[in-house]
Amino acid sequence: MPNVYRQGIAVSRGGRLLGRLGNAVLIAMAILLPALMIFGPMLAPHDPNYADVLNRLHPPSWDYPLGTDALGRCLLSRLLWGARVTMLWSAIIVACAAVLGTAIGLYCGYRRGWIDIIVMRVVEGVSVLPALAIAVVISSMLGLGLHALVISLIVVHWTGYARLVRNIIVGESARLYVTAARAMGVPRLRILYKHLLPNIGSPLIVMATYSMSGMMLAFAGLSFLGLGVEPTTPEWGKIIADGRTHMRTVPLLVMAPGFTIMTVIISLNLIGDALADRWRSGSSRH
Amino acid sequence: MLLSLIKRSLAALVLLVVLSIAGFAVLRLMPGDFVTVLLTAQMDGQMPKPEVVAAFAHERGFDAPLPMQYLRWLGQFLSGDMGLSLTQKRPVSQMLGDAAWNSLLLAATTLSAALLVAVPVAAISAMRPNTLLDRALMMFAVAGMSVPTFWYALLASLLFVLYLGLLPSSGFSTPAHIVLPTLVAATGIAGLLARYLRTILLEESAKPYMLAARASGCGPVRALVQHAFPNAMPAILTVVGAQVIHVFEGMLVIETIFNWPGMGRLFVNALMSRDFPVIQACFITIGGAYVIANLIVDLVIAGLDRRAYGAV
Repeated sequence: MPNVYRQGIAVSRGGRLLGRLGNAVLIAMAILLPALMIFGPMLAPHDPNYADVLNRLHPPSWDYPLGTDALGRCLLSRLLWGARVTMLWSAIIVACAAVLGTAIGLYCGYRRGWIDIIVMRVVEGVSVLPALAIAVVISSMLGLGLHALVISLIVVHWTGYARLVRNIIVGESARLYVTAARAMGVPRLRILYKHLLPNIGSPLIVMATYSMSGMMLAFAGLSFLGLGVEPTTPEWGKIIADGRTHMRTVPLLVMAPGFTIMTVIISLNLIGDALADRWRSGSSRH
Repeated sequence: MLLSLIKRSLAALVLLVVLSIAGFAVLRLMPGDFVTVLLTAQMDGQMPKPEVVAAFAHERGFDAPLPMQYLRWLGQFLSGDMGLSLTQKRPVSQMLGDAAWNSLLLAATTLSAALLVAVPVAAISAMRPNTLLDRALMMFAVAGMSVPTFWYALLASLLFVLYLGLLPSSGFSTPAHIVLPTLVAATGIAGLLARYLRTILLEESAKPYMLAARASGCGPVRALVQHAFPNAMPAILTVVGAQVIHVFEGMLVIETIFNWPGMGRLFVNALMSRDFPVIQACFITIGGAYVIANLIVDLVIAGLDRRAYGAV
């Protein structure tokens, strides 16, 4: 059934070119962001915590490309090291939550029975509660700090993955090819790994991309509030919090980290959109 | 129908009980012996003697078995006795009461502002899908939901307060104080909502009844307002209901930056100073509000959508 509204011309030559350009940028970002996360600190011109007290609030120069902050620390170096803190820790949290959730979802979808019922009730319950509030309470019980925050964010974050994986496994198990495989005598574990597992790859990656951007916002936000990393850690949210007092005289201290975060988040969201679009139209399942 | 509603309500009740047990655990599991910490706070930071601690514990029933303690605590909590704040020495319920109302006010203005922007944007986008206008609007929506609230809050106060001098920055005294926090909190939610609503409306406008409406001479806008929106209402409400979560998560940062005396600021301050009775009360109030809000959304959806009668 066609849409009743006039569609735009999505495939005009200009539009296609623009689309290709957009894809190229997204692919470049998809390579650049992990690279920055791993190699970023190597590009830093200075030690992120070295305070050049004589050159506090220094304007941008050859020596300090983005200037220095109120303590005389090189802003560019802090941002580059911050890539490793903010992005890498968010990635670690998302990865741990995804692995944990997938394992639990696989088990539930595969074994079913009362364990499945109980776990899915828990997942449902947690999804109604404010995850961030639970995370900060857990992290305050663990004594705040980076590791407490990371652990508590993983604890509240795995449930979405468990539900996704479990529902895919349950849905796929009812399909004919699984019945066929079973009829041919393929062992159940082999069916799980060879036939069911490949189905979860793309939805999982889409979900992880979106939750990575959400996680970075949460992580940077909590650090901004002082509920995250230790005071001297070069974390993006923390850098903004540090620059806040001099925001009026030296706006760059707040602008540079802010635009950095926003660029990364927009890229992640658009990459997520592109992947979701591609896999939705590419597979016959949906 | 009635059965599934009762089931829903029972599930919410179970969730509230679990929440209260978790909240109870917050105080009992806090670092250090709980009774000692409470007494130390009451005695202005002096460490109490062990005999005093034991006597106090016995007098308040803190040496009873945990289930008994839980029931007694629940009774007190529900009747409004939430203990004393460790840092401010005021009753927690008093601190919580004002904060809850202030937060509710901010949440209401935020959600209304977000809907006021998101609904027209989504409608325009859905009526002209894949056009330049649609692309541009959706790009704005992605930018809106991608901007870190804490940074956006700083930028907004820099612009409107310091450079333009139009609005008061932080505090609570005049109605104008609510403008900036609302603007900042609503932007991200408006972006998210616009994207979701566009998808919902697009799916809806591809259905046969829309073709029938258009064929019978219904204009494009009228078809959307009179046919697509009412039919999509359950889906829209589900999406809007889910945004309540984001409203609160934004509050943590926004109330702190703009010094808005609500739950978010109270919660953050309590967390920073490890004021566990306040943390506990905030946690339970926020969680309880969520569970109840979710239940209400579910019930409204069930009432609206005849197709979901069997599936609630």
